[in-house]
Amino acid sequence: MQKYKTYAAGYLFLLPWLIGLIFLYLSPIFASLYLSFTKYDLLTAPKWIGFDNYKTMFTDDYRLGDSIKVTFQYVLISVPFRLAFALGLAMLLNQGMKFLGVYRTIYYIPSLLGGSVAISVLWKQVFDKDGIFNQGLALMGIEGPNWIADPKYAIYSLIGLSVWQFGSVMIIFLAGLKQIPQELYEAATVDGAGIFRKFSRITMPLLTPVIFFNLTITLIQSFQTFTKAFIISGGSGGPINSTLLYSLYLYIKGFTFLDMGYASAMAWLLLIIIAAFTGLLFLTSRYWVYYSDGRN
Amino acid sequence: MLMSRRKQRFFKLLTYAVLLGFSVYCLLPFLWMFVTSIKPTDQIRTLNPSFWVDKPTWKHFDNVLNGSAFLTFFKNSLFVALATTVASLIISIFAGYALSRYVRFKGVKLFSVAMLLSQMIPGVLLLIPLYLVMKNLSLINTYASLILAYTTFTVPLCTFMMKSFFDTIAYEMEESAEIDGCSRIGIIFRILLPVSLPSLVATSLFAFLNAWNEFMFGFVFINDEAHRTLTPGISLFKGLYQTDWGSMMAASVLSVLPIVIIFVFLQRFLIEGMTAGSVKG
Repeated sequence: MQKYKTYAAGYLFLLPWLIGLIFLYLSPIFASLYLSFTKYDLLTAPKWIGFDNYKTMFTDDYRLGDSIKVTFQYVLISVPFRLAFALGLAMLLNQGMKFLGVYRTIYYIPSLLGGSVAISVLWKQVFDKDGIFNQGLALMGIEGPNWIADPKYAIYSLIGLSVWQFGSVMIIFLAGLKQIPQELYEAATVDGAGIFRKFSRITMPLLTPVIFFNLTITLIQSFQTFTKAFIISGGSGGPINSTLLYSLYLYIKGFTFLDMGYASAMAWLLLIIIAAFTGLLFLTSRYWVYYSDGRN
Repeated sequence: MLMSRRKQRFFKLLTYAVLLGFSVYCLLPFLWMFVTSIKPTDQIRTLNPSFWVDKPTWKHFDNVLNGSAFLTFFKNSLFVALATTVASLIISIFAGYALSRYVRFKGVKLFSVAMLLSQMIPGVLLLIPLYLVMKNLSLINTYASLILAYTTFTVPLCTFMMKSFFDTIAYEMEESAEIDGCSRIGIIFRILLPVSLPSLVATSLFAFLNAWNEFMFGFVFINDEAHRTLTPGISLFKGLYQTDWGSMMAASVLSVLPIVIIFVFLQRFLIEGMTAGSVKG
């Protein structure tokens, strides 16, 4: 009886969470799956059309092709740069620098506000034809292009914005670096190891779990980027689809063209893409991620 | 030895230079934001923009505060974010406690996995069905729609943060309270929460920031001025004053400032909370 009671208490405490999960999370996910097999414009009832939406996606939607290309470009460039900036600065900060707290705060502010609309608006201003970024380039004698309006460069302004927000990743790296026992470095120094050897033989291996965590989370988040592209392109994904990130195109399909069925099918393709990348990371992780507690 | 010490000094200086350079890189856009917001209109779009402001003006701020719905948006955002914070906190305290103390029980491990998986579901996937749910419940254009949606998104991570903190608290404290006849809820409120203050702050901050910064759901769920939150509000500002960078930047400064101030004071908690869940996991 006593045991039964504690069980009940455990589940009772989880109840609000469970109700939310079922009604606002799981049911919507299944509803979305159902809608992806229908034609639905909000006004008339959803009509079952089987795999038609998926067929159209793969055969008859060149904008989706553009969108996927841009999204991959965005993710595959911004994620490595963001992680590299974050790791590099975390390592610099971890050398017992003075004012660590101040630097940490300053570096974190861009990620704190990065997702907000204000920053995207600001970014548009900074990367404008006459914005300060080009003014800076002009000082060095380079004439900058029109970053936002030129389809060749527009995506780089988004990538730049994403890389600028390296702070949150850096803080996690910093915490990871602090957990590496100092004795290891001391022993390595005694054995005559240089900076690079210490980095490749001690820091990197012991940091792989944290790198794995950051890589996975950043990748998942980057695939879902919406606000930046929406604000900077004014909701269009232009010029010429050059900033049409996947979520933005999905939004346009669903809420501008009111093609809710098609948009739901797109959402599932995105989930599959994200799951594939995450799965791939997990599969390869046992070859490069090292857990010191012997988990592998 | 002398050489090496000199070299060391050189590297130290170089490191500080790099750190300083990146500080400028992180802060310069904000400075630009502020400078633009106090520039007279005719100095904003010139061929030689500079950080120097001739005759700074508060005109744009006046414009935003008195000539637009900014204050309404601000109040709406504040209400939605605070309500989300309270709701997420209550749910995640109980769920986090259950996960921390009843992990031995069957089924609970499953919840942990589900929580982590939930991070993988794209927000846009939920956007359409949740929009339909809100529409059917006639919640479109209400605060409740946003509070429900935001709470759903923040609860998994909040729970995770609370759980990792509860894990670090010794069970003995609760046992003695139990012997003294304290109820389970009493234990949570009288024993655990008072010592969990840092992680309560971190968790609340996380929920608050997420709700405050969220854009997509706010943009889709709310279509009337009276309930609109700040993020869609600013984006629509853009439509109103297509070329009025001054007012847009003033609105941006005003929306960003509270967050920066809160963060500067409470950052220690947030950083500890953020790293607790990730590095150990």
